[in-house]
Amino acid sequence: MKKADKYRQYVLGDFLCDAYFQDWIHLPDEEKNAFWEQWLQANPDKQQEVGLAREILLNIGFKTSSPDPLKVTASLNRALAAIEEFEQKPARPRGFWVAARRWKAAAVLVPLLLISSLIFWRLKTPGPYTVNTGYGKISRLVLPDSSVVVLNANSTIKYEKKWNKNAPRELWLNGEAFFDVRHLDSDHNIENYERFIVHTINTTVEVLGTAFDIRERRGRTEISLQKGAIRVLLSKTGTQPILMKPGDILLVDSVSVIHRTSNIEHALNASSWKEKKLVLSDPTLSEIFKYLEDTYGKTFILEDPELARKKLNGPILIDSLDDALFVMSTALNISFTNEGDRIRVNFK
Amino acid sequence: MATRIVKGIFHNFHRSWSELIFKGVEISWTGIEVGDKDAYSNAYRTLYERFYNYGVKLVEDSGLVEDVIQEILMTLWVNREGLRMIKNPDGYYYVLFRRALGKRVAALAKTKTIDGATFDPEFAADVMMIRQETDQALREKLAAAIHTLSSRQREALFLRFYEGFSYEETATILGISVKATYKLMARSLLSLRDKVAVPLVYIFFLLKENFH
Repeated sequence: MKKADKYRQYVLGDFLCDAYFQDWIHLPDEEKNAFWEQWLQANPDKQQEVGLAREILLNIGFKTSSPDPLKVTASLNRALAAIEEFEQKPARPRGFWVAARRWKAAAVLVPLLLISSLIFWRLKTPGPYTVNTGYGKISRLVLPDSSVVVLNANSTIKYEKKWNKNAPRELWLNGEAFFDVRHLDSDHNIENYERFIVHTINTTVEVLGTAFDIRERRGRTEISLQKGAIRVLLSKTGTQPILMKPGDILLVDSVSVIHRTSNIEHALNASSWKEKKLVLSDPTLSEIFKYLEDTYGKTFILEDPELARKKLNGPILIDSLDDALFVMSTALNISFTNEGDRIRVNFK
Repeated sequence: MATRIVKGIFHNFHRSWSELIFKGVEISWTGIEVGDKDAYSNAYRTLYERFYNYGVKLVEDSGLVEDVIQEILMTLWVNREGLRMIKNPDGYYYVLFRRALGKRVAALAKTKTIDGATFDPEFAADVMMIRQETDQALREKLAAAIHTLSSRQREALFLRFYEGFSYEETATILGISVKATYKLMARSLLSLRDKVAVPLVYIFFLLKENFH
């Protein structure tokens, strides 16, 4: 049946529910206008029904809510910055620029640390308990509530020696640590003292009985959740907590989420350093060296940019730096030249 | 497919249908696919506004909505090379956004309630609007009728009439079959019709105005 014939049988309800009729009302164009004008001329008895159907459809409107244009721009800029960083990742600057970048980070971090530790010190007059690990050292500690923290090399953690019965359990972390938190909540009614909060430069992580790894390095924080649930607040834009579930891996800076994935195996691997192993989800030499630099305080200098892209799958034993370098040199056929704080890397 | 017109807002109630403005903003999907950052930036702003307008109708917390928007728009760039395989990227990203928003709300609801029952966002009733110049009696009747619709029904009407999606696209975004969408829409529209029992005099008045 032709369209025009079909509509002759139509009453109000049929017009209302007809997709082509609806399109004419809400997305009119020349073709549809011509069709309906002609059709109405040929079927004047239908004008009443068409008129009312049209009136009802036109009255289905919605308010428009617009976002704050500043927020849109800010969000776009964050996205573009993240994209840029992501795209530059494989080609790492070397030598001088690495050093310059590190100094730049230090220039930002040192005053920040000074200020935050000053505030910390002023607020907590009894003085916090500080645990510091040197390069290549791992430290295991038991907190006042019998939760366990394993602190990776080149990391610092601070907390009160005694935890107040009415205050949340709070810790301050620089570097990387693994937490196995004792779950105090028994009745789903979270009391203040049952809360467990870890602060890093970028984030506040609130724990709800859990095992997770926080890695705060180079201005970014990566959080890998193994079990339980945690809530993450970004320190600069922290109005909306990010909720993490087991397997989630969250990479953030203090203003935005850079990357978020979910993979329970990768989340578990994030704390493989506890077993003196390094298991990365992206095991390029560039990523491995970053890790070793953070852990052992050396700087790797790549003589050939090609090196950064080479991959080494499987766990790397990192019991000592020498062991790790030995494994890499045999597996990838590369050589390391030790020059004090710097290590030159080249193809054999 | 070089570009695709994104259907925008076309509710200008002070004009007759022939003058209705179709406010379209063009998104260059091909541009994004080949890695043009300007094309991406333009699409980012356009989609941000559309997703926001849709999202805050489902979830009150605008911060959460914006969080999900950023997440989805990042994937638009990361997965840009896959765009050529997607026949209808506009609808596709609408589906992704709607799903991500639902997931996030469900995750949040889980931590708030003990049993963690699945939670679907509610489409607000007070965001529907009645044309101002409409006769007072009809306006009141329609406003009351709209409140009797379900959240699902309102959302379907929004996708079909505000966003201008087809029945097929609306079905995918709602996660139901096309047949179910036709039924859902018909039920809403017929219920509106039943509640607006307009006297004949009014109809004649209306017709005189519209079809001189």
